[in-house]
Amino acid sequence: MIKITNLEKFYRTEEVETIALNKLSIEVKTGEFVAIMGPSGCGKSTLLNILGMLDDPDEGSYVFNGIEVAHFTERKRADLRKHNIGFVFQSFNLIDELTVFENVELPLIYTGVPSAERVKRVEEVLDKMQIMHRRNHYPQQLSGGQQQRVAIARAVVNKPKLILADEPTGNLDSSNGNDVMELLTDLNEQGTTIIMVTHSEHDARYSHRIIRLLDGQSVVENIMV
Amino acid sequence: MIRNYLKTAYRSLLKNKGFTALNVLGLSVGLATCLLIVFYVVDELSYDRYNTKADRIYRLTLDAQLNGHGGLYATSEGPLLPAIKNTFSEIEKSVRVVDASGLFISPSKFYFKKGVQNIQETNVVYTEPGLFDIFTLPMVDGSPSTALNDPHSAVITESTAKKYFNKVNVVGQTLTLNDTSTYKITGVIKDIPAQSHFNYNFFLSFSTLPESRIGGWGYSGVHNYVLLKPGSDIKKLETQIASIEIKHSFSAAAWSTNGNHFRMILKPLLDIHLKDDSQYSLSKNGSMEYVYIFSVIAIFILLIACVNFMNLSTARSSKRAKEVGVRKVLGSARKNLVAQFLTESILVTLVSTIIAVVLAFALLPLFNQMADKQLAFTAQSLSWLLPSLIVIVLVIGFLAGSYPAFFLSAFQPIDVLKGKISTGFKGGFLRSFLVVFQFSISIFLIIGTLVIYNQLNYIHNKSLGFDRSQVLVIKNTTSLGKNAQILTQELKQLPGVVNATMSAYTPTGSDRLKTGLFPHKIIDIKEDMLTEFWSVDENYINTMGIKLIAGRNFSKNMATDSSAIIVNEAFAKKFGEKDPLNKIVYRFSYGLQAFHIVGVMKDFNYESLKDKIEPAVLAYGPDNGAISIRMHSANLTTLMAQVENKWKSFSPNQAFSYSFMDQEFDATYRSEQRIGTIFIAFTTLAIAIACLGLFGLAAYAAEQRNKEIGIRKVLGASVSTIVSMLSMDFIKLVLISILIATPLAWWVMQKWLQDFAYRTSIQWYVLAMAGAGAILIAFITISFQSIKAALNNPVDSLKSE
Repeated sequence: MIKITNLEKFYRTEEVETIALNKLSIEVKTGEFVAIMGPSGCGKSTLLNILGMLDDPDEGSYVFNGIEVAHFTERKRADLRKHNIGFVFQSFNLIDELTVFENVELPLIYTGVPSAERVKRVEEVLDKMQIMHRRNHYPQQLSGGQQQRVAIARAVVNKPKLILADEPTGNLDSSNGNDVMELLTDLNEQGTTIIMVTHSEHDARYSHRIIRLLDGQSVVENIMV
Repeated sequence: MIRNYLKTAYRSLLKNKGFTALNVLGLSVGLATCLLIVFYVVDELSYDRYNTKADRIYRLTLDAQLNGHGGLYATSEGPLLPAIKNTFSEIEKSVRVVDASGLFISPSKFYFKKGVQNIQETNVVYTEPGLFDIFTLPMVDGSPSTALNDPHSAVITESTAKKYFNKVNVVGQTLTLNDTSTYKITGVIKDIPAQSHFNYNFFLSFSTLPESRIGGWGYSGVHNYVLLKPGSDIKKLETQIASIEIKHSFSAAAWSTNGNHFRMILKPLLDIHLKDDSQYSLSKNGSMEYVYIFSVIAIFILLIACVNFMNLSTARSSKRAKEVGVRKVLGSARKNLVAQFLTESILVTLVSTIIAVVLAFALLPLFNQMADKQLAFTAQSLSWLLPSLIVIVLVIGFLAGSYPAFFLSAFQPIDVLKGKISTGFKGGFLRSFLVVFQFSISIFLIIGTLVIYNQLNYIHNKSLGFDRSQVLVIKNTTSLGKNAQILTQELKQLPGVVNATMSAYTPTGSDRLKTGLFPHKIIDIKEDMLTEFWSVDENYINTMGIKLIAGRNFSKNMATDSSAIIVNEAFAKKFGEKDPLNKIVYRFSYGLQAFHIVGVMKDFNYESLKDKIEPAVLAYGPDNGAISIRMHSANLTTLMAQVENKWKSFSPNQAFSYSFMDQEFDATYRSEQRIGTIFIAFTTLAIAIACLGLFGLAAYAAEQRNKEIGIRKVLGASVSTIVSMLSMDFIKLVLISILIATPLAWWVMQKWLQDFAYRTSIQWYVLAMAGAGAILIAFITISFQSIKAALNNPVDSLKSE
């Protein structure tokens, strides 16, 4: 599903040039659950952003579902992104002004799903995430665990092929964290590809494969059994 | 999608109540002010537009210059129209209008009888039937084409009919004028709209006047109006008419020598109210200048309010950045976000506009009082108001929302979510620029207000050359006839009355008489010394407190004083004799008259201080137009009652009509006074709105730098250091505004002062006060927020990160 080859990304300030990704090559197959680990500043987040088409690489190739997207325009990337990729963030990134239901509904609005269909699908996914009873609440009224469930619900409501999770348990206690990881595992078992950046060895153990990055390069790959 | 926009906008606004309140408050006050000014301006611009043929109606206006005096005159000669109306095919209709006040027409005062009482009317005019062909004055009773044909016919307005007869259909009834003549009512017209350059209640037939039959050239006290055929060549016609006037003037050659000239101007009807400087115009005209000034102020205030909106929105953008990021990640296109933000700002504008309309409606009576207008919300005003309001909502909403909309929506989602967008507050050049803009306007208005007030104060306290305090003027004494003199004597005997004099001509009154005096017995028009020529008695100079600087006052005991005159310094200067005393001057009217100068008096201001003092001459002769008494009494009420009783004993049927000289004087400057008040009101509003914005900005600045403040405090910064650090950023902007606004305001106000022949200069401390005031106001506004931020426990601000 994803194939990146010799990917490079630099950050330049006036005086310093930092290499975030250094000729990185990775492949992720459909249905995989991959964890990306590494110390702070190793380029994990940069990689995830490029994979999520939120950012573009300076050099190298990124083939998504057989399409070369490395030098797509912002508009084309956005279009590809909204139909194929769901995001889960460490800090949830829910919109405070919208209710649980409306937050989850948002991606469907942007992909032009008709209203009746939207209600059906949002309710379905809220039900699955067991937060149906909170549908009319605002994010601030929920616990961290519940907020992340909403965020995951929002990420999957569009039935994306790929979910990118950036430290999804980082702001949660261990019990809520485990719940979230169970949810992601369920989704993966139903066929969704998942790539997750994490600091937690515990969380990484839910994945099939761990890619360890250091200084923008892949140093080790652990295959989980 | 739209529903989603509205929903998010509504909730976001509700969530940030403070921000929304500041925006709505600023915008609605700004818009309300704007609306009031728009009403004022529309009213001013709508003068005379009720006439369906307005664009073809012209008033003949003289532009004449003879021996150094002259100017523009709204009046021209009586026989002119009959002479030209059949000569020039461009003229479709014409009408002569003779306004009696001050134009040597007899009678000059009008008392109409209702029951036993004589009511004085001022809105009386002599005119011809053509009036109803030219102006749109619908007649409800009577026939417009014949109504003013016969002598002693009168057309009156509906409200006048009701006033005198309690009904409207009064054609055939009669009115008695000045107890002597009777006028038959031949027509009743609808009341003339307030937006008309003339506003009469009585139209008497011109054919009544002897002037209409004599028809001699030389009398130029007639307002001549013509209705031209479409497409007429105005310039050509002006030249042609002028040549006819010149042909009939005393000396056609005189106009082409010595820099003299005689021109005819066809003044378009629609320009008369706002763009007419001619003398003897039929109504107190408005001024295009003030229409411009107020329009500019309205735009300024609206701009200040919009700037607030923009500034607060951008300042807040960091808060919205996360939302933008999330929406973009979830697939929102940029245009969706732009729409989202615009919806929000249009929603705010819409709410503000609704509040503004209500506010303007509530403030209208107050504004009317301030501006001396009768503005009203009518169905007709709604017809243009509603569409323009919709445009305003869209334009302002778009304008105010555009910066956040286009700026925020361009954020790269990843940068925002990772907190990479520096939402630093200092960086906002646009924001600084806008604050400078707002404060420049505010400082400009402060200086303007101070200068206007200084000038009004100067006028109020200036020595005028006469003493206007404690002088009571009793009016309408003409009806007493010879008894007026006896009444004057008796009033003088009253305890508390220092002196009393009888004359219609007072320094603060409106009665004036211009005449030409000549230095030689053989009249040479080139030596004309045009002067005010007032008939007074021997008590006039003492009662008015006018100072004699040479010669003597009139005396009852000098038989020769019947031809004595006292001249002012300005006349003496024009006369040019080193010692004018005992010199003779001549006047040519009703034969040659000689006057000898017995005294020279100090110049006194009898016209507005906008004008230089012109020559004036007092002549010894009775004039029973008014009685002025100088009083010196602790108990004014009692004295007034005694004066009124005296009046009643002389004239039981006539209302006691009086005024005080100092009040009359103040009335002369009422329009300046009004401008001053309106200026103060607008300035206060502009500053208040600008401060609202500054208050909001300061709040966000403090919020943005919360962490910085926390760190500084941990490192040992004191509260005062932090307050001054936060305030300095804004004070700097105010300082820049002072540098921009002060020279500009100085220049503009200097221009305004040029209008006054007698004026103050703009003192440096006025400018300094305005600047200091602006800084003080800004500092107070900011410090509230700064102090609050500085007092915060640093632990709270650091923990939240």
